[in-house]
Order: sequence, then structure tokens, then C-alpha cells
Amino acid sequence: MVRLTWIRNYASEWIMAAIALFFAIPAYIAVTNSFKTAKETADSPYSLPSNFSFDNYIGVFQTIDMWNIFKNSVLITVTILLIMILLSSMAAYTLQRITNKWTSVVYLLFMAGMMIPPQTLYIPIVKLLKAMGLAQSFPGLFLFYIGLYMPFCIFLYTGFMKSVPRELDESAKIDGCGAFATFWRIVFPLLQPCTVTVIIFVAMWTWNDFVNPFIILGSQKGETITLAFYGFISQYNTSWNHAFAGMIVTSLPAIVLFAVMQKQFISGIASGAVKG
Amino acid sequence: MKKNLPYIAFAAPALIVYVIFAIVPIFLSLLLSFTNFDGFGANYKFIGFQNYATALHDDRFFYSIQVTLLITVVSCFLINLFALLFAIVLNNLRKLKGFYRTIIFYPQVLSFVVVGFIWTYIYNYNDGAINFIFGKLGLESWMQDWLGDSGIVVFSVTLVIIWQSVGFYTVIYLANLQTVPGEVLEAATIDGANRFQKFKNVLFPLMSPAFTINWILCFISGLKTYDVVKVMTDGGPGFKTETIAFNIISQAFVANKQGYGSALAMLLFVFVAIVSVIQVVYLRKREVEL
Repeated sequence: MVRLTWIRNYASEWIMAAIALFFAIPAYIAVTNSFKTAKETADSPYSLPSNFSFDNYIGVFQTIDMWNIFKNSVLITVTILLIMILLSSMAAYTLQRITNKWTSVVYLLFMAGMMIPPQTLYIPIVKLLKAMGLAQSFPGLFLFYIGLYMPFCIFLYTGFMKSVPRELDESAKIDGCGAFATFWRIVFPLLQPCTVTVIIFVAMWTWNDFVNPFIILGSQKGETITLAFYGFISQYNTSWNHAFAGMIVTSLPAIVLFAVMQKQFISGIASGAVKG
Repeated sequence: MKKNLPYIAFAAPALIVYVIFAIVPIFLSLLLSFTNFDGFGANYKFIGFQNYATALHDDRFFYSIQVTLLITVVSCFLINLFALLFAIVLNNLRKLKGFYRTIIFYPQVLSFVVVGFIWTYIYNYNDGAINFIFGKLGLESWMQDWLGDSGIVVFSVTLVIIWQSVGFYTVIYLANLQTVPGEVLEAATIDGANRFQKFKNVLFPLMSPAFTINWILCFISGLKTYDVVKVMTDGGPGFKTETIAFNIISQAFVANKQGYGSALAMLLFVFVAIVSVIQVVYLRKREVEL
């Protein structure tokens, strides 16, 4: 491990404290103001609330069907995670283990997908989904996400698969394991660190996504957490205290999950990016 | 062939869905870009290169390219600079390392809608935090209409992008930094390298895997900028913060000029492809192996 002595340790601590302040102030503003009345927010936006009132939060739950949109966001995120892990790990197994001109063409085709800007896809996808009768539906959104996320997930899995020795496959085969059992019983469990990375990236992108559900599901229904919050602030854009409470409520699930799984988050991102 | 059958079955579902929902749409988009499709009717017709000819004279489109490139280049440069700096400082800390890393990282788990909204409040002219602090310090002349002034607004938006994502890139630099063995730097010290030389010739080249991935991820997400602009400025004032993504979506889904929107999307696709290939080739070439 490297330690750069030219930044003195006490200096590092002061620099870090200043940086942390810059990151913490917005959170302070949001939390304190969510407990204030409109008048107090206007008069003294940066002081602590004079008394903690939950009125703003009650207002949020009266406006947003929190349970329903939370359920939708969880459903979308979990479904897409399962599909992505299943499809991309299996495809990567074939692409990494079998080396011939077909698999290298297919691999290149997947990698080329990393360069596709999603905006290029919106118009034809909306038309395509309409033709398939899947317009403004969750299955339509899933299909769109699969196309969008597949290149990145295959990139991660094929990169990681190189570290799983082929000899394992072969000895499993000698023991009479079919290709399917070899993959699921022997190889897939060894891909676990990579699966964690895939889960973190895909979950973060999907949970916080705004523009894709906005285009594919439509803006009216406010079906996911992000869409619901967008709808909420469009409605309450002059009443900051209400909007901050809405913001806290809609962000809380992700924050709690991050707080609980922080270690996996950080190491998942780091290992995926540096090894991949 | 027969023994490869299970392997084909492994790759087939991913490939089929990917081809139908990512590759075919590109060609559909190409076809639509030669038509005057409006998003509803079936009776649109082939109009040749007219959409592309219009795009070449569309000042709003060219302006959106400028805005996107400005946001992308400035944010990539500053994000990588700060993330590298934060990683080095974090790595130097003896205590509270995890605590500070959490504080820098947490904006990443918030959506751009949430982040954009809170910064809209901070930038607010009358009671936003920035003008409030300048007011308290007696620096009234520094107070600005951060989201209303057309000369500043694009930088205000870029700062929000940096604030939201720098923690993510810091984590990647930090992971890479922890793989650099201390002996290499000691050896450089013994050879008489000064601090700057050590950074430029030893540390930075060893950090290049992280730099490659960070630069590319940052660049690609910069070119897609939409959410934060939608929430904070809605492309305004005027078209001062209208990015390519914003422009395409408003042409296609607000003005319903989907044929024209497809032509813009194709131009964006070609542009992103060229930029990505150049960057990957260049960055991979200058990476060093330990």
C-alpha cells in the first residue's frame, strides 16, 4: 500500500473535513427543512427547526401512494436484476469458454452496444413496443433494459470468467456433469464477486432511473419512485418544505440499503471496475 | 455442432433480446430518419436526406452539441481531477476513512431528480445557500442568479453532476491506489525523483487502469446528460442548457417530429461511436502493466 508523505497527515484531515462539509450541507438543508413550516423555511432556511413537526411528511403520504410506487420500483428492480444475472452470466460463459469466429463476432456485437446512446433507441423502441402491444407496460420496460444493460453485464462477466480455471469445467465433465449443471453448480458460484458488482450497478441504475421509465412508461402515471417524486415537485415546486419531505421519503429506501450494505457496495464497484 | 448445442442455448436468449431491442432499433431509427414520421399516423413517407439537410442548418441542434460537449469535457476533467485527489487524501487518512468515504459517496445512491431538486434550492437567488453565505460574508457583489444567468447556468449544472458522481469515481481510484506497492515510490525517491516527477512518472501511470475506466464511464454518461437538466432548468434559460439528449427527446416526444428526431439520434450515435473508439484505443495503449 502506498502512502504519499508529501501531504502531511494533519493537512489531509483538514482537507477531508472541508470536502465532507461540501457534501453534507445539501443533506442538512433537506433534512432540517422537511420538518419546518413553510413560513419557517422562508424566514430561516438554514437554522435547525424550532419544533419537529411531521406535517410535511403526512402531506407526502396523502399525495403519493407510497406503498404502491415503492412496490413498483422494487418489482422493476428485482425482476431486471434476476433477468440480467441469468442471461448475461450464461451468455458470457459461452463467449469466454468457446473460442471460434462466431463467438468473437457475437462478443464484438455485444461490446459495440456500449456505444449506443439510449436516446438513439427511444423513438424506434416506443414504436416497436406499440406494435407488440407492450406500450407503457412493465414488460416493455424490462425488454428495453435488457438490451441497454446487456453489453456492460457481459463485459463484466467475461472479464471475470477468465479467472475461473477451465480445468474445473473439464473435471466436472469427466465426472459426468452436463454443460448446464457444470455452469450452475461449479462455475456460477465462483462468479459471486462479479454477480455482486452486476447487482450493484444494475440496481443503482434502475432504481434511480428517470428518463427511461419517463419515455417507456409515460409521464402521467408516476409509477416508479423517481417518476413519483418528479410529479410531486412539479406540483409543489413553490412549497419547499413539502418537497423536501417528499424527497426524504422517496430517497430513504436507497439510503437505508446503502447504509446497510456499504461494504459490498464499495468493494463491488471497485473490483468490477479495476478487474473488468 | 451437437456438443456445442448447450452453449448455443446459453447465449441465445441474451443475444436474441439484445438484437431485437438494441441492434434492430438502430436500423429502424436509420429508416425513420429518412421519413417524416410524426409518431402517430401510418401514412408517413420517405423524404430522402431532407432531415439530415435540416439538421445541418439547425442552430438549436448545433448549440445542444456545444452544451453537451462543454458539460462532458468540463465534468470529466474536474471529476477525474477531484476523484484522484480525494482518493489520495482518503488513502492518507489514519482514522475516519470509512466515514469520509461514505459522505463523499452518498449522493451516488440518490437519483439525479433528487440531486437536481436540492441544488435548485441551493442555487435559488433569494434564499439559496450560496447567495445566503455570500450575503453573510458581505460579498453581495458575488451573488448571482445561478440558474437564471445564461453565462453561468451551464457551469452550475456541471457542478451538480460533479457533486453527484465524484464519490463513485473516487472509490475506483482508491481501489487502484491500494494495489500500487509502496516500494515503487520508495525506489523513485532513492533515484532522486521529486514529488511531481513521482506523481507524473510513477503513480499516475500505475493508476491508468482506473483512469481509463473512469474517463470512459464519465464521458459516456456526460454525453447522455438529461435528468439533471430536465429537473433544474428544463433546458433553459432559452436553450442555454439544452443537451443533445434533451433536444432529441423534445423533438421526438414533445414536437412529435420523430423522423427528424431519428436523424438527430443517428448523428449522435455516429458521433458517440467515433469518440468511444478513439478513446478506448488511445487510453488502452498508454496503460502500463505492473
